[in-house]
Amino acid sequence: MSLAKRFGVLAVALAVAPSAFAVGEATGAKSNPLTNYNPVTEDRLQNPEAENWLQWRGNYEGWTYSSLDQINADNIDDLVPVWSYSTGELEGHQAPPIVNDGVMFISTPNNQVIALNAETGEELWRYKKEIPEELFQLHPTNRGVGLYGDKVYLAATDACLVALDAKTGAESWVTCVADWQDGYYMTLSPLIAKGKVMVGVSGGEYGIRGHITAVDAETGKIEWKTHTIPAPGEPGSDTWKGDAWKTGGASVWIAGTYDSDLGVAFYGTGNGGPWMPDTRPGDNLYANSVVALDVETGDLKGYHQYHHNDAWDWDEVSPPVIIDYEHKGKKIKGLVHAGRNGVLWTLERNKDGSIDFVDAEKYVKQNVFKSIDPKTGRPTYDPAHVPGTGKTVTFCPSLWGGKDWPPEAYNPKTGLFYIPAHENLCSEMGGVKLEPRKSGELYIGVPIADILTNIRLADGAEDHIGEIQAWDLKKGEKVWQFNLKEMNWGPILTTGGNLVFSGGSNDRMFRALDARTGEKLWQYRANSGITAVPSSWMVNGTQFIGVQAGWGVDAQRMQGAFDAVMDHTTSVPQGGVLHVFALKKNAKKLMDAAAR
Amino acid sequence: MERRSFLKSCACVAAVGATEGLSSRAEAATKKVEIMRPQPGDRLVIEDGHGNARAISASELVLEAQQVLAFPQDPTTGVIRSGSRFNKVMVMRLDPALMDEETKTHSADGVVAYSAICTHQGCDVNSFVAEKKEFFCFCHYSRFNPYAAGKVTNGPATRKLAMLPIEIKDDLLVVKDSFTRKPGYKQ
Ligand code: FES
Repeated sequence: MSLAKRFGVLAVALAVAPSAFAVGEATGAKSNPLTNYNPVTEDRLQNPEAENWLQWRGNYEGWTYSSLDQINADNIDDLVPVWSYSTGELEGHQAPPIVNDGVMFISTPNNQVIALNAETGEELWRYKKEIPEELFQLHPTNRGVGLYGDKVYLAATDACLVALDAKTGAESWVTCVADWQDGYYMTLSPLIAKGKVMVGVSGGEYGIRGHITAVDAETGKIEWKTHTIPAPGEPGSDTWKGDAWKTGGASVWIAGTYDSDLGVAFYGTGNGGPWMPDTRPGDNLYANSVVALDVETGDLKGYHQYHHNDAWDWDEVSPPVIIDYEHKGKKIKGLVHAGRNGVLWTLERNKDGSIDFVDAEKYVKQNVFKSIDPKTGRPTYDPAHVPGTGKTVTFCPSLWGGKDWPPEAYNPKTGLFYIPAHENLCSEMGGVKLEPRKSGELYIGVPIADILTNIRLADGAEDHIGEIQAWDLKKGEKVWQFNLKEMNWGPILTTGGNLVFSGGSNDRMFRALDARTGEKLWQYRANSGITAVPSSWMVNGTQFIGVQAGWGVDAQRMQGAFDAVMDHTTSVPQGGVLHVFALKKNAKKLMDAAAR
Repeated sequence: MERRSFLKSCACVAAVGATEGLSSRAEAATKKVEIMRPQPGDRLVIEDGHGNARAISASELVLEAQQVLAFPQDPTTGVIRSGSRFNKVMVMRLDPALMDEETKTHSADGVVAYSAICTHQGCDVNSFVAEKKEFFCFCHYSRFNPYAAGKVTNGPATRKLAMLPIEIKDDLLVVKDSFTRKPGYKQ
């Protein structure tokens, strides 16, 4: 055997051997759903089977909707816990169970992926990426893996994208898209289309320049990288002055939605950095925007900036949800976005990828926008509520916005759009003189102590702050609302069984509401607060609902701010546990299968 | 202003950049100095983000004023050991009468230096709650007592902060000994 051939063999051996951090092997071959792992194709991602949950929000459009209806509003009383699983991690668990023909993958804080039997809860393998000890994670979380072919993709906090063999958990390749030492990190779920795995970077707090990178799903080779802030000379660069574009933020920390007919992905972008608007005069394109990218090339096809020259830390990273519907009598190919700026935006996506403004409506108290141009959607600001360096003001909604990152949901059966919202909440904030930027150090221009106590309560806060709102998009009206005493950090799942599932509150509850009326039908108290995306799947005729509990990150920080301002102390224990539910009639059969 | 001595951070690094063909071993050695933990004799300096550094003088520190974030600097080469964030320390003037014995031992004329890396999950401990006389970590609200050798007064952190023993020479803060424990959040 030639040397080259020997090395070839060695290379293959290295590629398939479980890495040092893939703990445990595929077990119990007889019942092991990995034995006949069903590769994920683009067609399957476009037309996901009802029994599977192949990407973090279920479909490319971002609906967070399962058409399964075995569990429904009529039999929800019979929903019981059937198994649970401890992740071994603290901090904010935000990822949904992602399920492909009986195999489940969950990701957790600290760059861990666990494969489980989606029916019995048996652990199949576990992977943990080692990250540099000096990397301190400002947001220790992960929002879900991506599936394609026979691989599982994880965007890790060291700004590296990892491809794992779905059957073994062994690393196939690792591609780093940015330098963590310069403040870049990743927490989002990858979006996969046209054989490319797309990820964006966080780090707006550190003075980074945001970008989206597409990596070849098979080889790990970077195909394109598109910055969310134009360099001098590129279109839009005149909305920045001097060198501000180099550190202007506009990070991308939530996966985009995807229109497969157009071949265009829609990504939301974060606020400009540093936080105070006078540090970066101009409109600051494409911060606080939705950008439409050609997935093949990374070219910018269109955009809409929700608000210019941000002053409030209102990241608009949630991508718009893709919904075709009749809006006030006119059929539109819509993009719907519940903005962190407190406005429900309706946009239209055009064939060439450009985006038109359609409508805007405040869905929570908003005292910053004096008006919104009915043609362009551009807001005008009330200067009394625009903070600046040396200028402290109050503004509503708070810096966590009307809705932060937790995803909305759309139910085609009820025609309703569900928003996890914060109402009756404002902020008081102002900037101080900026120190020069240091690599990997916070570059905000607002004292941390002020951020931690920034919350101000508006009239109505004694009644409630957290809300789930349901909007009839056709009429442009809110049809019901469910209130929570304090915060709501709960992503929403809606189902064909006329149900809405969500957690998000500091009482550790996981609830089911009637999707048509908002009536609370069922609840379960988990080990910890729930800030993860719930999902639903079916194996061997049993429908499951699953969600990770695990309080941390911003929910916990907001709790700290509440405790500081409201003069109470709230204890929400940490620790990740996946909770799985099914109808009582199936429970015995499941336990028998697990015991086998 | 006159009291403060301004030092160019790292003449040596500039020289490395300017001298073509310098062996990679020499560069590696330079890098190593940058990430080495504080050494006895190092000065504590404030970096300004542009590669400039200013030595901290003891007399500029006001009693219980917000902590100053600093890095050690090798006095012979001028290299600032900021290649590792685990070398970041916070410096503060305290009332010696309120210090416990351990704190006294590692302080100089009321001035203390602590690792600025939270022992919980490694965030920067960069706030001081004056009313409580405690350091504060913004990530999960841990608090540490600077008068009691960095003891935890409020979790989730469970381990105290590392102290960096210092002395004062010509009004400058100089490292006397290595950290009292491993800085960072891993045991
Ligand atoms: S990292 Fe400091 S309290 Fe958690």
